[in-house]
Amino acid sequence: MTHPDLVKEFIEAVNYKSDFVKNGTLDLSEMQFIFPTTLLPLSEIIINNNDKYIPPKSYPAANYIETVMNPSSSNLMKTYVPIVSLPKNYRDSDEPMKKIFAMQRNKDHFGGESAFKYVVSELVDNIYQHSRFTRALIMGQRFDAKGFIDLSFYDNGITIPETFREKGFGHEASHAIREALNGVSTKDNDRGFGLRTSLNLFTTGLGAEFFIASGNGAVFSDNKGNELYRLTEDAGIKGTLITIRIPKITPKIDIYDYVE
Amino acid sequence: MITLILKDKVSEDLSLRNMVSNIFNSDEFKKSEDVLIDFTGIKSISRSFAHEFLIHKQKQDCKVMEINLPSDIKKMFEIVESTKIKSELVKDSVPQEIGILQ
Repeated sequence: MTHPDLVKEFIEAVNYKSDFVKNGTLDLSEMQFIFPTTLLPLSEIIINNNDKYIPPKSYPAANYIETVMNPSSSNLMKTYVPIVSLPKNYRDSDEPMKKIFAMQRNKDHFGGESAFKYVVSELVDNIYQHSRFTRALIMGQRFDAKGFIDLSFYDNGITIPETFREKGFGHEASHAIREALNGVSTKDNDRGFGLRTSLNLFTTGLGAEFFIASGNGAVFSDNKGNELYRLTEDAGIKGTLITIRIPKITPKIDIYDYVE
Repeated sequence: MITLILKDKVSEDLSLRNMVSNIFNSDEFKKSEDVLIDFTGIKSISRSFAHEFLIHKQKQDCKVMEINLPSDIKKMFEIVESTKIKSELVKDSVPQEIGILQ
């Protein structure tokens, strides 16, 4: 079965995590390159079990992982910035948010300033509103040669399917994520627009790809349609991962054509 | 009448719902006077922030008015205030299974 690239990158993380559970080591020694969709789900293992982590033999790959996971490293000429960790208290979030906004660099790229700030704001707001996280990470990686940027959000909190179950919705995991993407809110009928609008704006408006995995469900969406995924017990994610793969050059759009 | 400079009280980018409490729990609102909220220098606003702002504004005993609203910020408030029907964006389908070693 051929999966979209974002799904393949997630499956790669699933396999590495499974090896860690089985063997007790996270062995990335053969890794030549790592996408945010693979790195973020593995980041907790790297942070919490550093003595059990074997970095890539490839110096560029090892250096990349070390740089992005080191909050104090900075090089504005590079195509990547350190992973931004969200503070537990939203009152301290202004500086981290500015760092994430700065990932765009050229305000005409990746959907334009309004679209970029909109999706970052809404997805970070969802993390604070719903997840009860102890760790939340945002990662941006520009792939100039490939012509896109990956913007990834990860939190280790309550998953979307669990949130729906808490409120009495008996959805299967992937269907719960689908409902969330369609704008069903577990808090209020007047809410639920952030994720929905972000999805519509970026896939329909800007030709981006959108991947979300939460608990034992996942959804991939682009401007051609969507696929739902059921993750087996050992493939599930404790928390939520969202990656948006945004073309560098996008049509000029008005976000208000998509905000409902 | 008291004026509250929003950019100084919150941020030039109005992102998070929780930020709204920084406004309506501030000292300016404890003085029982009408409040002008100055949006000068505001660069962006999320729909979530705008929605939360309007909810809090409605609950105030005093009069609250926005001034110097950039046109795109004003548009967000207008959208939030209008009624919505959410159509289906993500179609239902039978989920494919993902496990390890695929």
